[in-house]
Amino acid sequence: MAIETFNYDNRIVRDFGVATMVWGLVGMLVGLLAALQMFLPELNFGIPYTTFSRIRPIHTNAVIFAFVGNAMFMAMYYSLQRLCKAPMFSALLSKIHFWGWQLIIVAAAVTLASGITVSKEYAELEWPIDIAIAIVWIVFGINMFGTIFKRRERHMYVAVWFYIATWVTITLLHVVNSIELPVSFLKSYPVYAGLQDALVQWWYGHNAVAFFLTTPYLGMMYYFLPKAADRPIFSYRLSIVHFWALIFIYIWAGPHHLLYSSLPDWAQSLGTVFSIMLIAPSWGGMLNGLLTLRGAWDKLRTSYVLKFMVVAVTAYGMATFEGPMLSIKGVNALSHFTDWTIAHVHVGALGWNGFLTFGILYWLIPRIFRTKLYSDRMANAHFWIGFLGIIVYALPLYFAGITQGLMWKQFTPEGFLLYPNFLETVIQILPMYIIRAVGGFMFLVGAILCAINLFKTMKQGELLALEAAEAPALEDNPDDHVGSKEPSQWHRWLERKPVQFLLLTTVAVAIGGIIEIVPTFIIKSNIPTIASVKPYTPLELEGRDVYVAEGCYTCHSQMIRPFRSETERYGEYSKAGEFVYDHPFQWGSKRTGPDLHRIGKKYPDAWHYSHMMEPTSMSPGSIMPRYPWLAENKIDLQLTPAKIRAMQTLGVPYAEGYDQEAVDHLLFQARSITDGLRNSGIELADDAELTALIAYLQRLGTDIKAIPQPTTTETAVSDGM
Amino acid sequence: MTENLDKLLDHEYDGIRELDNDLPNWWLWLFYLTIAWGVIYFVYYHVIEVGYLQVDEYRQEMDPNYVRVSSENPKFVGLLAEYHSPLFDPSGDMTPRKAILAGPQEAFVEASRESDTVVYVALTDEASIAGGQGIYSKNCVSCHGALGEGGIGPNLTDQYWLHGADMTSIIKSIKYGYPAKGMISWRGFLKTDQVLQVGSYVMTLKGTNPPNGKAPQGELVEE
Repeated sequence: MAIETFNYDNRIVRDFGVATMVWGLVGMLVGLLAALQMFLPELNFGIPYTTFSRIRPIHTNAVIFAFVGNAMFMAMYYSLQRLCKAPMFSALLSKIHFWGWQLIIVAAAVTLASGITVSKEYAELEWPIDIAIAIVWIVFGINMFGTIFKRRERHMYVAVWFYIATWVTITLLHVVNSIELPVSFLKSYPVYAGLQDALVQWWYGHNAVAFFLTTPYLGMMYYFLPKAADRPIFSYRLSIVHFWALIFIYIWAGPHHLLYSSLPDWAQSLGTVFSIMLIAPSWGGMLNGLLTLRGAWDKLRTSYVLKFMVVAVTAYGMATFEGPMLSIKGVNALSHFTDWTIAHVHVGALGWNGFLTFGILYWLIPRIFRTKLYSDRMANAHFWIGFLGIIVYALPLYFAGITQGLMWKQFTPEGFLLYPNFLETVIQILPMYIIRAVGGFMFLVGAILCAINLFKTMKQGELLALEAAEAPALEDNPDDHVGSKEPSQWHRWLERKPVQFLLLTTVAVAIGGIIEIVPTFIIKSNIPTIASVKPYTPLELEGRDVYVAEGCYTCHSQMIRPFRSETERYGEYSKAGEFVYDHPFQWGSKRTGPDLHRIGKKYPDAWHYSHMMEPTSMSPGSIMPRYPWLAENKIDLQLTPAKIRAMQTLGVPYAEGYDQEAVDHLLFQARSITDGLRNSGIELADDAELTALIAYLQRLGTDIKAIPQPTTTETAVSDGM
Repeated sequence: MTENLDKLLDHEYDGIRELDNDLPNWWLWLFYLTIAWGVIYFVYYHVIEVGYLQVDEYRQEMDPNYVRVSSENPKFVGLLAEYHSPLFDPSGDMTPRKAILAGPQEAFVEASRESDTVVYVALTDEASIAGGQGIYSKNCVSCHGALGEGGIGPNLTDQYWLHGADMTSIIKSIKYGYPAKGMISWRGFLKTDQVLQVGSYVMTLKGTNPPNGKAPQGELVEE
């Protein structure tokens, strides 16, 4: 048996590690800024680029795809080489992957700050960046599978299974959810509308959590935890069962983001039951992690690496229990749209992803730099301030979420809403927002300590760029386990067959999505149409694009749930048929402000104008930022006909050739608004973004109220009363 | 269970060994239990259709005596097309121009306003007026001004009125609103006695002639 010598590429690991820390700090800093704006909206510095509704997507994207993404690649490139006893398939592809990913992150930050967004959460990036992501992701896939194919280890270890599942599922999710029809270089419309768009989006959004934040991290746990603890994995069989159960069941749970929405009940119920069934498979990972530490718990006293990892795995266990609980409709009725969700995801993000990342960094960086960590004390300090930071972050948000959820639902004995003014429920929880920001700040301080510590470590050591290793060549003997009495013999076979493994994984993750999504496309009764729901006028369509670009959905939902407390507050509950022309859907996921689905015609145009210019003038105490630039910015009328044509392509029934009349109609409607405003002493340009936005807001949710109009009806244009 | 307890498997990956432990029993039971719960849940709501889904839940919340008639609720329809609030009327065509011209629909509001035949009399006691002032300063100033001088909404201190100057008209304006013109309905926000108080307070504003009064709107009402 020939012993072969080769080199592990540590440079790419280092590169991704540095990127992890840099983007991690950026993402957390932006998060802190967003948290501060929740009670000090003027901290947007009066400019659009730093306003909450634009930086919230920057924060989420930076943390998910830049911080966690780079950390995942760092850990994968380190562990995959060693688990396969082979260097990466191609150093060039590694480089392309690294720099491609960083460029995408920069492009994401720039475009999102500029209001260039599709507005689908965690998939906000516009179509050219989506394509770039797909290309870089495929480069990564080729590199990964190339490495697996030329491995010198007969079987693939459980970590590699999780990496494979990650790759194939993210590919599916990203491609399906990002299908858009470009209107221009930086503007596109999703091909799905309304309910379908919502369903596809949350199939994606939920499984981005599953397959970007969970499966790669489970794989990382399976490598780095036993390494750091120097203990064997508790149960190989548990690995097998929980792996397959996890990836099969996870996919189905997406609709739990749309409970009590216009989504058909059967899909909601699937979301609920599969979320509950997900508890055990998720805990399987936690158990295998924690029980691996049996006999090594004493090491926790001295090992900051293990401390980080144990908190991470515990946070994973808590979050994956809480998630299913939040998927029970009765709980969701209270928690949805509140800060409870924000607390939940941060237990996952700060605890599971953050702490596992830190643990791995502290373990890995000294190793590849052939030195000890610069300061153990700093690492311990980081652990405690970060740990406390998570608690100080999450607890007040739980309190805030439950408080506000209850206030929304509270009726007086006479049958009135006790808090009819939404703002009251916001002001009530502002102190919680302040404490939360303190928690976030503490976590950031810990991360800064980590960055300094790692930087000093790198400086005192020297990167072992190419780490020599040797292993016997893999002999071509696929039958070496035949005859074994192991019950999981078939799985041993599968572990030798990456292609079959990939195919089986693909099948496992495809089933749930197909069963849930396809019926809404082919069975018409899932979306009962409403005849009075008409396409948006050109001006409203432009206004909708402004709504999307500014990120209004980050604070306002457009989904009135069928609860008395919501129909009393907002009006008739939302129907699936009302969203059939919504590319993309704007149902939102959080109500920092009130729902807007029935805002149309509720207030005069002048109210909206004044409110956008200075929200507190109309709602004293409001924490909504000012949007004065909307009055200055002009909509691009050149693009309007193309937008109409794009909508026609997507099936919106504008009359043939309507694109040519669109601008005339737009200006006609705009003048009716600006004339009305002039009566109230307000001058606004016909083609101002704000004019379009007002038109859109005034249209929202009004179609179902329409009754047939005799053609002679006078135009009831708001005349300022 | 004990047979495999902490037995090391013969493979290792980069130094990582694995044990051949069985799945923990309680974990397996948890898994089975959640699967059973899932099946029961789905059968309960979607196969034998005993459980109320969201629209029925909603109707029951609105009307405690509500009982579902099964024929109303065909399987797998999603949110029902048949149930609509009184505001709902499905008709109309698809041309956007129509949508521009179609004003806000006030038929329902009008009908409610018409059918409300109560005659209201302004309250004059100090407590009511003070209460009304409090309600006014919380809810009305953003449009009608701190002193009733008007702004987005009309001047409440002059002699010109769009929808009547008497107490009954004012109460109806507050209660039902004129949504087309931006006056929202306050029915859901204010209790009946609060509406009376704020209406009474508005009656006291007449002729106070505050600075920066908005130009008259509506008809001159001599009293």
